[in-house]
Amino acid sequence: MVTVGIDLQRIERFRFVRTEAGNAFWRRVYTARERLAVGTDLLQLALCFAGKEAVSKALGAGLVLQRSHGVPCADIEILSRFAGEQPAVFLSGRAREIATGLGLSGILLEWRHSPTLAYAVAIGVDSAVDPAGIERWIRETVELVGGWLEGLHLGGKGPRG
Amino acid sequence: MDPRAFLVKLAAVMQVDLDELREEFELDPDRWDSLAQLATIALIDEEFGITVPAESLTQCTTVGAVLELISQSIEQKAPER
Repeated sequence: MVTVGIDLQRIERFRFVRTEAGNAFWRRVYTARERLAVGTDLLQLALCFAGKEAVSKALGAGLVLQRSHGVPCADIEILSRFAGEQPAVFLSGRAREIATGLGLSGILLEWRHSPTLAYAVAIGVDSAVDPAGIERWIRETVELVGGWLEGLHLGGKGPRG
Repeated sequence: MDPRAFLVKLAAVMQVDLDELREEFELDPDRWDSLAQLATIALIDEEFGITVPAESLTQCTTVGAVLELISQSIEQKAPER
């Protein structure tokens, strides 16, 4: 089984996170480890949020702040040790329950950005799927998304995030 | 309920001037996306100490509707105090 989620965010939209208006969002959406990693860098905030949205879509559930009908943001933690590395996805709580229910053994995530946009592709896979094949496919897919954005004059194909 | 402090912060989230953010201000889908809605739920929680359902907030099409939802949620919570 394979599930797919794609998300796109305008980097500039995250500027409010640097203000008093963004404190509650920053503390509730990003985990302590994510906050340590991304700080208030607009690009990193946008990439991480796009990653969470893409993963929640691959799980077939909406992103929420508290456990209700969707997946709490904090249940999807996304970390990468350095720029350019494929981000690692850590599921907990409701997100892990949904993944288990779907029979998923893992979620792969790739993200890219242009000067104005951050976008992410998440693939949920079960144990029957060859990870090497999926990693190649997800890289090709994220490049394809960049191509679409470029075609739409939305500034895709930018430097890798 | 004094919504002024909330509206100041909502204007920052929506990236519009505070003067524009009247009750009839329409929350168009292009701007009223999941990012704005999550940020607004977090703001409401922080400013008023209440949690509004995401499903209800999603259905709001104007700033006035958001303020009405907050008022209703505060009233519903009041008997619990």
